[in-house]
Amino acid sequence: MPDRHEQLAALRRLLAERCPPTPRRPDAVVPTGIAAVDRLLQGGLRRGSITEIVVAARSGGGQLLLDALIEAADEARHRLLLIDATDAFDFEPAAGASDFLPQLVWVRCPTLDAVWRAADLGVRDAHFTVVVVDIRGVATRELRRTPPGVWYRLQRAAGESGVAAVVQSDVVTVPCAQARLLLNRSFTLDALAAERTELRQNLGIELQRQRLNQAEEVAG
Amino acid sequence: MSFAAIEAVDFPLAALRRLEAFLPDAPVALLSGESRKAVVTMATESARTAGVAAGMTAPQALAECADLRLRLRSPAAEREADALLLAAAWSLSPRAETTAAGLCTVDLAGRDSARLPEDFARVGAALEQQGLPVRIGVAPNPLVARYAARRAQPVLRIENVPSFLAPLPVALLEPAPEDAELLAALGLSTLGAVTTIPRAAFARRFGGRGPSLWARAAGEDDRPLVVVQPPERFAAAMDLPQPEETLEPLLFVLRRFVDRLTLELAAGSLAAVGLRLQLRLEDDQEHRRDFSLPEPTTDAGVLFRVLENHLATVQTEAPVTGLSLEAWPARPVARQDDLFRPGLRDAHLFFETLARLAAVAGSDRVGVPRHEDTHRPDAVALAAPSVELPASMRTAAPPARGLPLRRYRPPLAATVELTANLPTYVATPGASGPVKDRRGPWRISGDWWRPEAWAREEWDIELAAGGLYRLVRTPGGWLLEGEYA
Repeated sequence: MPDRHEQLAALRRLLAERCPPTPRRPDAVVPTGIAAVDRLLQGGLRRGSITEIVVAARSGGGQLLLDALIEAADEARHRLLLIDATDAFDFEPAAGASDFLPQLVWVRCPTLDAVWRAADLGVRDAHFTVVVVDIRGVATRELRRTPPGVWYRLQRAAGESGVAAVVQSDVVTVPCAQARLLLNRSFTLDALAAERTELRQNLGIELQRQRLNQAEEVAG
Repeated sequence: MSFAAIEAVDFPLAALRRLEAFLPDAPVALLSGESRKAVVTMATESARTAGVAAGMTAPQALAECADLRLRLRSPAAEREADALLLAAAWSLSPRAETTAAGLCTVDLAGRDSARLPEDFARVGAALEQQGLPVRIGVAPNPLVARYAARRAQPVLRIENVPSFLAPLPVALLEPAPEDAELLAALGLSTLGAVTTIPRAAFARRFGGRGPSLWARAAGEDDRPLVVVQPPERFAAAMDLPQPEETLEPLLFVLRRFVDRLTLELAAGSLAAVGLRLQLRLEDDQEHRRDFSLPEPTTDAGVLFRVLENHLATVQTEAPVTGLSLEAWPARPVARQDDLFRPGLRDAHLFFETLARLAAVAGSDRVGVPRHEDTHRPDAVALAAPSVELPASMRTAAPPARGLPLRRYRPPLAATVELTANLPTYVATPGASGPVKDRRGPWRISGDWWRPEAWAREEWDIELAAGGLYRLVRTPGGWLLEGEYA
C-alpha cells in the first residue's frame, strides 16, 4: 500500500492534470530589487497579500530593504506608501541625486491607532502598488494590545485591491502574513563605506514562512 | 418661438425644507409672521393630511398636528433655491430669466425640439433630487408658458393656445381685489369668458387696468426676456437658522451648495479646480480652508467628499452660525491617457485617499518627501504628490553608499564616555554599551549668518552588542540621532 506521501503526490498530479493552474499574471509579484529576496519570495512581494519582514538584528538591513523598495518603485514608476509608526524614515539624497522622491507617499503617524487606520485606507487604494507599514521601534507590549482582527482586515483589503502589503517589525507580529522574512545579521561599521547595491547582496536573510495559494502550489 | 417656464412647487416651503437637515421628512407649515395673529400660509402634504390648512393660527395648526414644525419664510433659502432653478434653466438655454420667486423662463429658440422632452425630464429629475420639485410649461410666449406650468404634471406643452386658455379660471390672472369682485359680479369665471367680450368694451368697464387684464386673459405677451448672465463667480452662502454644533446640518447644506455650484459650472462648460470653505462662528471667529483639486471636476460627489473629509477633522471653539462655499472655475481637462506615462487611474480617488490619510495623521504629516535646499540635517519637507510620476533620475546619480539612517525624532539624549577624545561608552534610553568601533568626527555647520546657526560633530559608532548608530555632539550635549539600519 503506497504511503501517505505517495498518495498526496498522486493527488497533486491528478489535480494538476484536471485543473490546470491559471497562468500567473506577470505583475502578480512586485520585485524588491534585491535578487536574494526575490529568489526567496519566488519573484518578489505577492500582490494582494502581506509580507512580514522581521528585523531581528540591530542594523540588520531593514532600512536598506525599504530603500530598495523605494528605488524599485522609482524604476517601475509605481507608487509606494510608507506608513511610519515612529516617524523614523530619513531622506538624505546623495550628491547629484534627486532631492525628492515623487513615488513615495510618506505618512508620519502620531499614534499607533493612526497607523492601523492609515494602513486600512492605504491598502484599499490600488493606486499604491506597495504599502509598507513600518512598526519597528513600537513597544512590544503596545503591539500585543492590537486586536488580531487588524491584520486579517488588512489582509482582506489587500486581497481585494491587489496591493502588496509589507509589514516591517522587530518581532513576529502578523499572524496572517503570507510570507515572512527574517533579517538576522547585523552589519559592521565597514558597511557604512560600501555601496548599497553591494550591501543588499549581503543581507542576512532567512525565509520563515511562505504560503502559496492553491494554484501556485499545484504549479509548484 | 417657444418658451419654457420652470416653476417650483410650493416654492417658499420647498426652499426652506431643502436646506434644513431635519425638515424634509417632517410635517412643516409656513407662518405669515411672528405675531400672535400670524396664520399658516402654506403646509406640506403630510401636514395637510393631518388637518392643517391655510388660514389657521399656530395653536390651531399645532392642535391638528402635534409634530408640526412651524417656520417663517427664509429669504436666504429662497435666494439659494432661485439660484439653483436658474442654474438648471441654463442647462436648457443661456437665455433664461428669473421671472418671479420660484419661477424661471427660458427662451428655447434654436433648440432641437426632438430632444426637449428628454432634457425637461433630466432637469426635473435633477431639481427633484435636490429637494426642489418643479413643473414645466412650454408655450409660444412666456405668459402662456407660465400658465401651462401651473397646470403641468410635471411637463405640459401647449400647441393650441386659445383652447388651452378658455377653461382656465380667472384667478390665474391674479386680478386686484376690486377687479376680482367685478369679474365675479359679471359672471366671468374663465379666461375664455373674458375674451368673448370685445377688448374695447372690457376696457371701458374695467378702466385703466382693463386692457392689461384682457391681454393676460388672451395670453398675449410679447415682452423680451430679462436675460440673466451666467455668473463669473461661483459662490453660495447662508446664515444658519440656529447655531449648529454638529456636522450633519452643515454637511446637508454644503451638499446643496455643491449640487448647485456644479450645475452652474457645467452650464458654463466649466469645472471646479478648487474650493474655499468658510465657517462663521458664534464668537465672531472664522474657519477658512482652501482646497486644490488634482484635476478640474464637476462631479458633485468628489467635491462634497473633499469637504466632508476635512470637516470630519475640524473642531471649532464655538457653534457655526453661517457658512459659505466658493468654487474656482477652470476649463475641464481634455486629454488622452499616455500609454508610457503612468498617471493616476482616478486622480480624485487618489487625492481623496490622501485627504483621508491627512485626516488620520495630520495634514502636515502626509506627502512626498522633498529635501530642502540646505545642508542642515533632517531638512525634509512634505509636498503634495503629482498626478503623473516623472521618469526615474537615478541613473544620472552616483551610487549611494552606506546603510540608510533610521532617525530618532527627537534625538535621544546620550551620556558618552570619552577616552583620548574618542567615544568609548554610550548610554541612552534606546541603546547603551561599550563602543566597539567608531568613525569620525565629522564637523559640520551652517546658517552661521542667521539666528538659527547650527554646528555639530558627528560620529558613526558600532556598539559591542551590535548596532550602528550616529552619535552627534552639539552645543547642547551628546545626542544619539539614529540607527543605521
